[in-house]
Amino acid sequence: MNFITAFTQEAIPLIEELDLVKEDLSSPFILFQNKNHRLVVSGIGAQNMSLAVSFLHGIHPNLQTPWLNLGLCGHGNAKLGHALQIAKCQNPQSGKSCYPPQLFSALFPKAILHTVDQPTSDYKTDLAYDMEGMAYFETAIRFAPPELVQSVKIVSDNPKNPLSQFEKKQTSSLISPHIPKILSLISEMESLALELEPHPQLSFIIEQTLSLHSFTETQFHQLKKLTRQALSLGLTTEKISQISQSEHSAKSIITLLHNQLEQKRIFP
Amino acid sequence: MIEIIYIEDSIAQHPRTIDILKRFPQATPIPCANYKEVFNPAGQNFRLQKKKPALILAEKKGNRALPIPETYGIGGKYNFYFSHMLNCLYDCRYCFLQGMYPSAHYVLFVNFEDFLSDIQSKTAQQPEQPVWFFSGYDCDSLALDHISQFTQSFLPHFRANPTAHLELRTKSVNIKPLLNNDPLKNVVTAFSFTPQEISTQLEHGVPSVSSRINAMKKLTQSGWQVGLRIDPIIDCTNFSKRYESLFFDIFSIIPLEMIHSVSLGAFRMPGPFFKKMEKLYPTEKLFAGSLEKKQGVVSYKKEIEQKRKETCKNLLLQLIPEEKLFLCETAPETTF
Ligand code: SF4
Repeated sequence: MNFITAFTQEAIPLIEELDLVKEDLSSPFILFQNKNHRLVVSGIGAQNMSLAVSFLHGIHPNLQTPWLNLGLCGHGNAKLGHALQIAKCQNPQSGKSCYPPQLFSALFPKAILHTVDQPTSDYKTDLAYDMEGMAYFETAIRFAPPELVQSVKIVSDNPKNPLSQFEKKQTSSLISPHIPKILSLISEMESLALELEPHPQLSFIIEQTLSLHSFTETQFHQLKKLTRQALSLGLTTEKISQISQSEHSAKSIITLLHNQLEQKRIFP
Repeated sequence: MIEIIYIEDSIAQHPRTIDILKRFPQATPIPCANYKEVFNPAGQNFRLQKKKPALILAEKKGNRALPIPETYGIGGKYNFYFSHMLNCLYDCRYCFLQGMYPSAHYVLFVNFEDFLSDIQSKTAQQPEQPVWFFSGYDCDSLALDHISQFTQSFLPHFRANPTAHLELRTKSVNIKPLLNNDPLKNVVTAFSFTPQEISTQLEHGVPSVSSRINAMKKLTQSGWQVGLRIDPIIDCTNFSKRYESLFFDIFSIIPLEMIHSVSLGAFRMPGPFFKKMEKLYPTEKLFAGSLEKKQGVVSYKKEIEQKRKETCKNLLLQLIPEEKLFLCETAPETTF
């Protein structure tokens, strides 16, 4: 799972909770990670956010990895410390909107986020404000299904408590109380992402077969399709491996697999 | 449970929108300029969204009643279909909606009055002739009626216009909205079936075959005509036995005179839809069946399709007269 925050202070509660370790990289972004989680601090603004998301994808280029943006926001009427999950993000300058699908338990109330170029004190009712949200969504949905690209924002300022009064050292104390729910969201997102993973044996069998014989591009596609079908039709991994090892050419493997499947194709 | 309702700006003040929002107070309303902003973006995952679809309230613009292909009718000469909703409560693995739409969210077009006015004008073009309107191609006609209140909104129109005929295609047993009304001769509720063994494996969330037969029974007892749609026919083990037993179960309970029509439809899927469905469910056995792609359409191999259709036809003709049986040939893409 990938995490992005704009500031290090926003990242600290997650870094502590997930035991993320700072990597010693010569890169424009600071990367923290453990075995399954990676976190990058983007810095302020849209451009930094886009670059940071792309950088993080480059570290772990998997198209099923879930993404979570965690950070602070202003809000027209929500109380300080209130946590919100973004169901719509809009850039009022460009008029562009995106609507991250909300498939997870109702852990946080939903909100509409306006991503603005400059910090604003012109708060409108029922709207949250930040400076990176739109860039985050627009970039991350290039690397994962939009269902797995989410953002949780904690209110740090509102009309009664404007941004000018906010002190950075408050950040962790605003975010930390929400960590248990954020962990639940993370776990739901991770299990959903697992559903998109291909059959665990598929790539193993294909790689094994490719190492034994040479396949043309067309034969490679046929092999991939037949192996996938073989696994869904209940041919065991051992049986498929046996076929690829006993045959002497790509063509005969394909023919034999094809013949083996013919008897199994009828729907049970 | 609906947690999010996206609302297109143009219908935000529509009485049906206001009513739905009142009935779902726990849902978060999210405005959108156009429903396509939510529904159409590429890259969405239908399979994931199916776990918790949101509701989108929108306005249907343009042509709302469209002609259906000639091979798709059930005896009428003038046939149109309309879609007041996109997507379905159920999750049939063979459903073309998952190949056709980028999103699994339910879209409800709330401007029923515009649908009815289009239906009215199509009906008026053939004053002496029955004109058929088919609902339930892009959704299930009854399954989400508790949200849409489609039936109670459309039936009065058909009551007042006896030459306009309505087919409600469904797998739902939500027949209350019909039972609350006096039966109409020009309305047919058409139930789709596969044998229970197939339904269990492929029609996720769909009521059991027996409860659908029971719903048909209740409707016919109240004087409503029903239809039977054996569509798609699924090639399977024990094919004849399973389909024979399905037909027996239906016809031993539903009186023949209350059956308006029976139609048979083969499994046909436009290539791009099939490809998308296969990608969504790469280990689905159905998609590894004896299928072939011909002229851009994926179907069972011709000899299998012919044989299975013939078997169903022969079984049915032992139970119903030929004039009640219709064969539908068209793949969804070419239809809509
Ligand atoms: S009931 Fe019909 S519309 Fe609904 S999922 Fe099944 S096939 Fe599709």
